[in-house]
Amino acid sequence: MEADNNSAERTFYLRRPLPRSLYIHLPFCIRRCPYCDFFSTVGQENFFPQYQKALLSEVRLVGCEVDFLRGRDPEYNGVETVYFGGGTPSLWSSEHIEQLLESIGTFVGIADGCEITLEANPSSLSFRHLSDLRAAGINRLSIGVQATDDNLLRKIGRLHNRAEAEAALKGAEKAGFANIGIDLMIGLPAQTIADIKSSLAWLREYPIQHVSAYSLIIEPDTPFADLYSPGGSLYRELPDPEDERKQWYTLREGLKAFGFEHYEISNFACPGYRSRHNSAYWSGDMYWGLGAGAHSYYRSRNDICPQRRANLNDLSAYAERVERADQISAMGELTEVMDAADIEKEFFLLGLRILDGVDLRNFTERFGHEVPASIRLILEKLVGIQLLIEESSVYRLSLKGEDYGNRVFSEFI
Amino acid sequence: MQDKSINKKQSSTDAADADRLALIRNFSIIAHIDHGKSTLADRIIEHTGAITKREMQAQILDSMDLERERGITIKATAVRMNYRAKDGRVYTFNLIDTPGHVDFNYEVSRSLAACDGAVLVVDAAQGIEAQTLANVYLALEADLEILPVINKIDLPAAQPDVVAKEIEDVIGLDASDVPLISARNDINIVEVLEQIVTKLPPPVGNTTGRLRALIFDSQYDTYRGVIVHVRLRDGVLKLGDEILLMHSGETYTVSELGYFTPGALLPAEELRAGDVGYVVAAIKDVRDVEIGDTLTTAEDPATEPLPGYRPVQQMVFCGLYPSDNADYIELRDSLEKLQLNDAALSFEPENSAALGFGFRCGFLGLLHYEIVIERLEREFDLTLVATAPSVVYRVTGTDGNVIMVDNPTNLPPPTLIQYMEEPIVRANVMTPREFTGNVMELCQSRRGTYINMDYIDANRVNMHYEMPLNEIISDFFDTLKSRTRGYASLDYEFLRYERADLVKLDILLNGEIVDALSFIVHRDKAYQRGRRIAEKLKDVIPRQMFEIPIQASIGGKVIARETVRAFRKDVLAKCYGGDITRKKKLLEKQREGKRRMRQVGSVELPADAFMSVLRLDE
Repeated sequence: MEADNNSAERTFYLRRPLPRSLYIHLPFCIRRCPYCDFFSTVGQENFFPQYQKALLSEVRLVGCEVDFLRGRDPEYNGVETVYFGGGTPSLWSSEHIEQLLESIGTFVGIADGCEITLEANPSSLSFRHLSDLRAAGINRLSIGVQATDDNLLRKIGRLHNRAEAEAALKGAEKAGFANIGIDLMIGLPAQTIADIKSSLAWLREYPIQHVSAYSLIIEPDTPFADLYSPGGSLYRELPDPEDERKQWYTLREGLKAFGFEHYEISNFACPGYRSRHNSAYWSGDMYWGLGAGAHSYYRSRNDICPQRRANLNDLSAYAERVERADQISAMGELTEVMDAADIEKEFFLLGLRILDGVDLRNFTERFGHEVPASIRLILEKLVGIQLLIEESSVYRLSLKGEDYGNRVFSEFI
Repeated sequence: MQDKSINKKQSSTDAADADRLALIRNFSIIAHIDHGKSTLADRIIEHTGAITKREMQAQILDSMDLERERGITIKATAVRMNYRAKDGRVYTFNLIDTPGHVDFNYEVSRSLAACDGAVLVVDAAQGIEAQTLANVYLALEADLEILPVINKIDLPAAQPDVVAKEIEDVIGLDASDVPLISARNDINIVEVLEQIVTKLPPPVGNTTGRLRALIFDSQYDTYRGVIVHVRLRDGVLKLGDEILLMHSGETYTVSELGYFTPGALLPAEELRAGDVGYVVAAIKDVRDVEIGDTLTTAEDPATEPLPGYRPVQQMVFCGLYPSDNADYIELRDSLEKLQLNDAALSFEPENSAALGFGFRCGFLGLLHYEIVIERLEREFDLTLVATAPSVVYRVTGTDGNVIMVDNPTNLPPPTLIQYMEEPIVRANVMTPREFTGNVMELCQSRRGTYINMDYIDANRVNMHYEMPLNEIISDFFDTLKSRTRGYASLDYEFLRYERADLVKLDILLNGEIVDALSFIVHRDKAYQRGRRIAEKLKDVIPRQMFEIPIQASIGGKVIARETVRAFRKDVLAKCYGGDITRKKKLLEKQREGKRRMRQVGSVELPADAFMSVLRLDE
């Protein structure tokens, strides 16, 4: 019993019970992108004030939980990353953003040097808006460029064109943003290697410190699912898997050649510009998630272990829930029930996405005991089939492992 | 002098016994699947008050979940009831349930042999079907009086007159006062009970003779051991008697005997000729008690056993492997548990290069095979890989030695085989007339030999074929159903072994023979089957990290070739937004799929790859 307690006391979530990251979901768009399956709404502008109010209430609920636990977390100085995701958070007024940040600062705390990111669509980023956002406290932008060819952008139903993306990037730099990331997509209908090469050449010309690059995935129940599933009318336009991989290798090698570090399966950053917020997810750290449909991972006063929860993904239902909730854990529904062993496995499932790999010494530091034999066996097996590389106490994905990551991750389910 | 007094005593007993016997009716209900056998049994039990309505769980006799779901009886059961008839006398009914499928023909015949009469249920809408006839023939063979009833008369499509005429024309039974009933809605059940009394004969029993009891079923009970179900033909069986099983030659001491009531056993002091009841005698294994064996007293045994005994004969074999090798012990324990109540199931350890450790299992037929696999997966929560079922081939070697081969892997090389023989069955297909062309085409394509065809009525025919059993176990029934829009019914029985030009077809993945995918096929069909299987495997084998050649070969000669291309990636890009649970669920789904895969050499094979050699859409 004694030993167990000691071991438990050594786990990270008891030593530092408070999350250091906070996510706010702003599920509003001018128009849905036809491939997107994130929770978002269209034409709900009238709901903005009510939603803002609900978010402010939810910040207070987080604040109560923070106050409840603060005494057990002497190092706590407020959250270290804040992320406004969506939806299209750039639709939110800078006044609203400022009000939210103020409230977070008051009730939850914002640590010095906090990374505060806002996801943005190039078409809703006037210079004026950018300056106001910067002034409101946003210090990192993640801009949904996706592609640099206007035909491609139209094909995937984006509202912006290349010129608007260029204007947004220049405007952002002028407005004082020094940490700008963009999203790029590959495997788009009729996309070619030449497109990828021209995007690479293009992005050198702009102040970009971070690139999230990912394949188009045809998600069920999206407009694209009908068109681009096998048998769909446009299915043949999708590059075949071989070409899609070639596009990926072209993009990856191009970015590396420009000095970007490929630091996570689908993320690249100039040295010092990794996304700290997303890194928290991959490291198995805890985070608050506010807003309709937002996901969170924290240990409430009633939990033994940290748990994953999701807020209701319906605007009115969410707002109603906030009004009635007496503590933050009454907001979200558990999406799964995790025990200590699940958390340990997740450490690898998520951690191996980071290409630096997982250092077993970090595991011990985090959980207060050695890596269990069962996990070691899995790691060795994956090294055996050349999906992982082992270097002293660090296990990381091989180049082959990057292509077959699911084979690796699913071992830790 | 002494003899005389005994005789005198016995004759008075005989008189009392005749009265006793006159009040007993031992009968079965026979029917085609879904014609309402179990429902009628339920109503009879209800009406005799053997069980109250509230205790009544629908279909008492079919107590296994699977039986209820499939609407078929796998294990026979017996129930004893009392019925006060309109003549004012109280009759004892022993209702002996019979398994309802062609695979269990022998078991059916033994259950029927324990009866004196049978109630024949015919669906008022569907009329006589293949199994109706097959069961009628079995009942006639057992010399049973048959009482027809027409069920489901309240269905809109019911045609009781047409069906009554069918019963007269096809079976030759008098259907002038056939009870028109609805078992489901409890219509006219009393009429059935009355006719059981008036039309079915009482047992003929000879209490004075040496004991002869027919064993028609057995079941395993954790506390009592094997409970033997018997019908006494001659003599009296008493508690404490030393008994002998005439075919097995084993002796036991009776520790308990009695009668069946629904849901319980009712102990008694003795069982007498004509009675149906149970015997407990510290028997540990159901396989020690063979269905059809004769039970007699060890001290003064009968000279002749009752006729009709046949040892259990498995006709279909397959390899069963745990999907996860770690479950081997669990699979063995589960098979053992199943076998406690299913003496017809056989299994022995088998080792496959592709599938690891598993069991070669023998079944009475294809349905038995499917039922066992389903029960293992459902009741014992096992995930299994089953190889394609095989029949038993008789192989004569060049040295003149004959071996029986139930596993293609054990087939000697062609150079050592003089000739091979395969089991031929007589198959009866009953179908609406419009489909005769389709059925003929199908049977011919399955190497069937047409024998003849009877007209049941203006619309339906009964077609008789002789056909290799190995054609029937490879998806014949499903194909038959689809070619007759579900109308045809099938039954078959073993006829003989016959020489055939058979070859072993091997499947190679990545250049290696996958032993569990090999099967034996007629030479004329080998090319076509080989090609189809290669194509099918190409569809069911998921793309892997490398290219996989698929080949079908006979004796080293490749006859078909396909390739599964490598997939290029398997990775969830974009993992943010914090919804880790969803990513995990996707991975979990993928992993679940992978868990059902078997590692064969370097290739991962989904479990259904092994079934795909069986199920080929034609």
